[in-house]
Amino acid sequence: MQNTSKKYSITTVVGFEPAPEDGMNFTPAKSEFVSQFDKLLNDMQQVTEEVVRVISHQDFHQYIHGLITDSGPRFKSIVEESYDNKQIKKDIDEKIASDFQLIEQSAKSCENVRDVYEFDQTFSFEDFKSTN
Amino acid sequence: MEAAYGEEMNEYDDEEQDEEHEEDANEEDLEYDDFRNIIESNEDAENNQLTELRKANFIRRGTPIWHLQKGLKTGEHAISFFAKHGNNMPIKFLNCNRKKLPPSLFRPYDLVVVDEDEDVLDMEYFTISAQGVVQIYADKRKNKMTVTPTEFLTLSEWMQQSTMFNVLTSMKFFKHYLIGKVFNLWKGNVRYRMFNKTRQDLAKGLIQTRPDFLPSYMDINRILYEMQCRQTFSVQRATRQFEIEDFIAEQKTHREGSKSHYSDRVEDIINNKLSSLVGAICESRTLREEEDLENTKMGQAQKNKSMVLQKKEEELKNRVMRLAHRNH
Repeated sequence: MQNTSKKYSITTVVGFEPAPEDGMNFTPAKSEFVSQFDKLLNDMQQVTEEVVRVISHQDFHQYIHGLITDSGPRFKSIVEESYDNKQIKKDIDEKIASDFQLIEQSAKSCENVRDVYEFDQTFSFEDFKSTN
Repeated sequence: MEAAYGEEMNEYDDEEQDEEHEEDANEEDLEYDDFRNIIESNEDAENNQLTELRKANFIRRGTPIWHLQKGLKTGEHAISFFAKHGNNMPIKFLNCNRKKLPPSLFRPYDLVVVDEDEDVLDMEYFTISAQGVVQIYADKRKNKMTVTPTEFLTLSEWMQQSTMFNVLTSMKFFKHYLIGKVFNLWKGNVRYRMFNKTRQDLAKGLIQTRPDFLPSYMDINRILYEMQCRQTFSVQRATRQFEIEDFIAEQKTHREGSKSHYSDRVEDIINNKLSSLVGAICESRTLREEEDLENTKMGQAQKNKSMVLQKKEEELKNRVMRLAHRNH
């Protein structure tokens, strides 16, 4: 299933749960989206954190050795504690939640074709041909 | 006997007191009459004098009306004069200037009567008559004097406003308002000057302002800006649909690219810019040694140079030495 109104989108596939009372399922699920985006943000911070700082660079060590200590604030901690970062995380989570709410409502219409789906799962053409 | 003698004495005393009361009453009658006569005669004389004054068609020097006019010194005198006599006097109007006061005093209702030529009138002057006070701005810049009446107040309105102003300015807040305002202005200016001085002192010591550091600083800023522009994620504007695995993989690829970009830029900063800066600073450190060597050669080369040129070179050297000293 996909939301066609979006230009740049990530798709998820809608399927039927085996038990009819469980309704529909999504692959990947909402929790996977949340975890993937969380990981993505952490990786972005990690990349910036891994850039060598001038004061810890080997070529420059001879000039500033003993003059400057690397005890200053860390990039990652600055970003993690910042309001913007928290807000962006919150916005992403809210966006995923609202999109899934929307597609869950849309997917309800597919519940009507569960009989067709189940028939398709159990139907065997060979059996049908042998019986007839 | 003693009692009878006492009664006689009392009677004598009573008679004496009665006589004294009669004499006092006569004296009081006399004084009252005298006073009444004096007052009446004075009033008559004054009335006669006023009548005489009112009869005058013009003011001649030395006459009582001239003395009366000379006695009108301030705006209040003029207003009380017109309030008392109205239009019945030969003096029909009086011109006034504002009273000259130090700038710290704001007294807009204090006027000084000008009984001379109109040339002594200021750009802004007042004409007081029995009808009221007219404030006039005269434009004396032009050859012909154009006058524009700007405001008219009746005498009672002027007095009311003047009294209100005096009452208000006697209050502590309004009394010291101008001084306080000027003081605050002065204080603000002093603070701003101190701030400017501190800023200049700081600017002199800032690393960005030193000539040796400046090119490297600009280059490093440019490189940092490039790093800032390169983002660690990529979202294209074109319409595209992703599976989540593909999206994550694409982001990873872009992130790796950004990482190598950051590393290259940092290497550029350290290997090229900072190293060359350190080299330049080290070179400037050796200037003092060269200077010492040059001093030993003095005498030969300088013979061919003019004193002005020598002085200029000396100033330049001192400047370079100061900068070199500050760089360290």
